[in-house]
Amino acid sequence: MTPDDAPLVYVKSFNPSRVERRRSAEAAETGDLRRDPVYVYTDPIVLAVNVALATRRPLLVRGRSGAGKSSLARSVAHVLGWRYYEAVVTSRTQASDLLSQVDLLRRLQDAREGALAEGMTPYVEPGPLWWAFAPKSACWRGDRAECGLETGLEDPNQNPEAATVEGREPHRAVVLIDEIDKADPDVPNNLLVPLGSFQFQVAETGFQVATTPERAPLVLITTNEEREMPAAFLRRCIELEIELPTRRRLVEIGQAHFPEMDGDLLDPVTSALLGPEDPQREDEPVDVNPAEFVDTLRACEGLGIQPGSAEWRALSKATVWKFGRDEPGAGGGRNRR
Amino acid sequence: MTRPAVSPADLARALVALRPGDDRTRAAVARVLGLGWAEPEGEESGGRGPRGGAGQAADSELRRPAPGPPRPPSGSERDDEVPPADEIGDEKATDEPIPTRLVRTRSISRRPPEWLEQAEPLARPGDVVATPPELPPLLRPGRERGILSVAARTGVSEGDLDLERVIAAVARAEPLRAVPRRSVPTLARGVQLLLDRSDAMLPFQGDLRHLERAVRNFVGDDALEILSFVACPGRRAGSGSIRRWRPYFPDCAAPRGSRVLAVTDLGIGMPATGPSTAAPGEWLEFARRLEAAETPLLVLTPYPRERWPPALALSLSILSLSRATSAGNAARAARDRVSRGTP
Repeated sequence: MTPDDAPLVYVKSFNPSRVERRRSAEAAETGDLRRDPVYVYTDPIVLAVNVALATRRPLLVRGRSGAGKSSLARSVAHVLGWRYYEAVVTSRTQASDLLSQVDLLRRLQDAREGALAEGMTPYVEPGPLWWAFAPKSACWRGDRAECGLETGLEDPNQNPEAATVEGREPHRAVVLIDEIDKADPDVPNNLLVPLGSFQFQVAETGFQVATTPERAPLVLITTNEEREMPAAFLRRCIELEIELPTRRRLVEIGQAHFPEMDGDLLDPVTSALLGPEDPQREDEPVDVNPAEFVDTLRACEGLGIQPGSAEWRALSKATVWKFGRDEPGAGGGRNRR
Repeated sequence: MTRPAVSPADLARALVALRPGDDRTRAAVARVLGLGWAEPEGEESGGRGPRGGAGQAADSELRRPAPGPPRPPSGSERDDEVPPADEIGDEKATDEPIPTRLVRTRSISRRPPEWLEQAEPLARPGDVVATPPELPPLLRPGRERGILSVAARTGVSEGDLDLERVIAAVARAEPLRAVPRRSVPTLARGVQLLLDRSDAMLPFQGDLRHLERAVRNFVGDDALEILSFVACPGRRAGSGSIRRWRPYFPDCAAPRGSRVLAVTDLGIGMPATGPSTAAPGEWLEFARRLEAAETPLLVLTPYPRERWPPALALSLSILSLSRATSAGNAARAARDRVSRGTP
């Protein structure tokens, strides 16, 4: 082991196993990957999460599609035992969607039916950052006395993603803001105050949503880098780039996802996607992302497709055409950057 | 109140919370924060050098354990090479050197020293300068992104409920056939960037390249279409060779709702007549057809308002590309279209 390969020495408040395996067979069978995710950690990833926790800064995760950016957030929440919320950003997402919204249509409908509730509070819909900052006030839409809703949300753990909350730390949360580069350029800047001060005001009711630094959520923001992020936003984030995997890491990821899978399927699939094994190139980055690799293994296992069969050749060609790569096994699986 | 950018204060917080055991780990933490790492002068790596009282006080402050997030339960596969916080002895902790000099690598890497900006590289014998030096951009660099993003947006009726219109309808006892919503600016519908390649724009070719890059950066490849034209896009437009250009309508028309940005001199730099000059009426007709297709046009021109053709200054949405231009100018230019009663 060279000095550069030696593990970094520090106190890890986030200290996952190198391979976080799925602990519930039920989750694997039902395809629910959110509650009990598999993740293969590297030292840079663990360090970046620890630094983000220590500095209470958002962690901006870069990397290609399928590199494991979003699943990192789920895994971190799972390892820490914190609540987990996510918001997938689209081109129409506004910053207010992540904080709170008011259902004016429902209010209009209530008004036309003579069932208008007093004030705006019953019509407020908390966003994921509100749930993460202050789940109790989110349950009551800000003000318990004014809410008047029979929501059954008295339990502060309750939230729209109850399945990922049960039994977890009630005061801490991990928030995933996924694919922020899809949003209009103003959106990241409009999140600077809530993410920096851990508070925001619900404009329609004046209610102040806030949390203390000790209970600050860990916010992971992913980007596929389709758009450049505003400089002011970047300066306030911890940045982590998940690099292209090596062949060794891909195999490790495959084994973590399918611990029962024997080499009779794993090895041929790996060779088919990446080309023949070459010990001297085992640590070079490859042009197959982990999500694609795991999905291929899952499909081959589930459908009983063996590499080399007619079905496999058809599948591999389709994949190759989609991504503009050479045919697998013809030495084209390598990253040619 | 926004939080300040990542700074050495964040490194201090991270060092207290993570208590790195060696300089390599400290350097790795600093790198994650985008900060550089330099050994304090006169000290060896990992050693204890002379420090003043204030420095020692700061060190002891830094080393005080801070409340951190709860640690997960240890498992059989945990990384056991690093002892948990409560098992690290005080002596080991106090032996840890704390950096006394931090260097921002980000600013160093992004901003070359002043002397380098003023220095002219010596030409090697026989070297031929193939490309002209990059000229300063037309828009002020700090404002450019904001100006262009405002200029590139269009309004979509997807905002909050438009209560005034709802109340007006309810007061008249009219049924609401559609939910009236306020308009919100967005880039979601995409942008078509039209670049004038006529001879009069040759002095601005570098600016066109720069604008193209700048718009691409915040719009993204998927939502951006870039076409070239000469004189007026209504004639022909396209990408690549001029021989492959096609009539703008209907071959090059932008998707409904997207913004059309045309970077042109509006014929200001050309003779008043000739094949490479578009008459004002041609531009107005082009703008009218774009408005009818709900793809609003905004013209970006490197010339000041005083030189705009009067007939176009009154009827087109035009924004001057200059150091004095602000995002407010861009917003007003884009709004002018609305004030003239177009959709």
